[in-house]
Amino acid sequence: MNNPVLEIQHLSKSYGHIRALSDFSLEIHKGDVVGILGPNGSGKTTILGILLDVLKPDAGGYLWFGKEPVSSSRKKIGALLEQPLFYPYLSAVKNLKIVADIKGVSYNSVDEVLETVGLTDRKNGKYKTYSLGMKQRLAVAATLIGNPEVLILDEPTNGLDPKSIALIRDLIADVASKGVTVLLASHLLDEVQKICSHVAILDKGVSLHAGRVEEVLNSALRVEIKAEDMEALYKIAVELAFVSECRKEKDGLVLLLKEDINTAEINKSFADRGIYLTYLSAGKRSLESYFLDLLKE
Amino acid sequence: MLELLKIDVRKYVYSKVFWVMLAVYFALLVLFFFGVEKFVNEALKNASDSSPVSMPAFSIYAFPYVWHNLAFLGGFLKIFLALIILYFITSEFTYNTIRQNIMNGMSRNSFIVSKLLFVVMLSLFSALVLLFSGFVLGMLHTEEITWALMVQKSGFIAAYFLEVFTFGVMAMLLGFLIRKPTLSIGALAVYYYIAEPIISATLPERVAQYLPVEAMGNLIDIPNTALMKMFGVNFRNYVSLQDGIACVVYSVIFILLIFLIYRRKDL
Repeated sequence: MNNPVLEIQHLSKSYGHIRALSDFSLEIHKGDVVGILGPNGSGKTTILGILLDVLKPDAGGYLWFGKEPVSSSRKKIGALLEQPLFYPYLSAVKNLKIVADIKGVSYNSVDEVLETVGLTDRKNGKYKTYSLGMKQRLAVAATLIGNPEVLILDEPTNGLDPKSIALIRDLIADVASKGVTVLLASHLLDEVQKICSHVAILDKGVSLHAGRVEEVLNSALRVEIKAEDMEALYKIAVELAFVSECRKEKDGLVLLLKEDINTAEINKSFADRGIYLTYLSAGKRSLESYFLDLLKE
Repeated sequence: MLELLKIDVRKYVYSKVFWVMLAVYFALLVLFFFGVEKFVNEALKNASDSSPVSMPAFSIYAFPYVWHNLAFLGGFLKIFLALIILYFITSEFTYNTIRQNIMNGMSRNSFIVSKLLFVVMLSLFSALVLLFSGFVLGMLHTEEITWALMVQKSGFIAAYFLEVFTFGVMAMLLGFLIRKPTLSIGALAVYYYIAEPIISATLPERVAQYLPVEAMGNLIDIPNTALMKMFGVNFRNYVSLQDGIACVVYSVIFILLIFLIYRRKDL
């Protein structure tokens, strides 16, 4: 039996006249690493805020670990929302002890998680003296207190240098390999593609797509073509049976294919119709191109 | 409950601002308590000089009157205690640490309870300062000390606690509603010094006496001194049950309001 760790059912939320989230549903199972993608203001943080009870939805609901959410279910979740939030006049250690107290776990893990994010040297320094990157790393460390079953990370690599970004990425991969379920909101598509097993794409509060990352990446092949007569090329391309979508871009055409067809076949299809390609480039789509395509629709 | 108190204490115990504010409050209270006699005696002496009848020698610090006198005086400084409460409650919103507390698994209600415990602790602190000051001053200024004399009218300490606590809860409500330090402190000051006196003036006395700040103030009436008696005014030298009930009712309403508002509010 594989009950979902999290079931999100038809969440909606408005701020005044602005609709931040419309009818959002998602199911997450144990061990999934789910990337929530979307441009700024697409509703990522709103979803995570609702799941953590800091925001109240207008409609819909969610179940954590198969139950109506109560505060104790959040004790099994490590969460970083938007930005690090700590008491500025307290040291890293004292801040983390408060986290441990709230979660009802021992202080044993405090030193350990500080070591993990490389803050041991400065652990007794006041939070307000920390640099942006250190604050962010401390926030990630805080999510690891008490060995959570779920990690919720909202832009965890914000403000970090490349070395720290790599550190956080490895850390997420590491906890995920131990069966921890991860929810990761990010703009960094490359990041999500590298670490996530699943992806949900949001725009203006509406879910555009949700599924496994491979499904997304394989769901359509992307081909770029050019010819002397672009107008004629376009007319032919939109008629082709294997083309699901055709779009003009800069000085070429981008085709999304319904099925995996080799490039020779594509080339022949155009030649048969009396037009010769001057350029043909095919490749699996990156999450980034998929994401941008989806947002254009 | 104890766990919540422990978490909350962790937030202040290492804060310099907290200790400075508490020390200033403590110093003000002690200064008020120990310095007032000089002032009153001066006034008495002046009155006595110009009065045809001679005034009886009388210490405001003598048991059992000391409890009433100090409790009345301490009431003037409750606004300072409210300042500490507002500063620390609104700082949870300024730094958004309330959000992180909730995300980490504290329930909204527990968070509110932890702040209520903070108000209780500060009110207790204030009442303890009153107790010790009253004890010391009473010992020094009473001619014949008996147990009965000492505990007589010590109910004023409880009334003082209730007064300070009710005011603290009112400040807490404002802090939770307004969330911004300067604005909420301003709102409290405006209500305390301006708004309620104006409202009170427009209402008949039997209604106005139940306005929150008035009700808190009525709890401990102006102490009777020889001077007052001379002018023929006689104030209550006991705590009336109905003022006590009014304060308790206000406290309960304010606390319930916070719980109610935060059931549905975004943080």
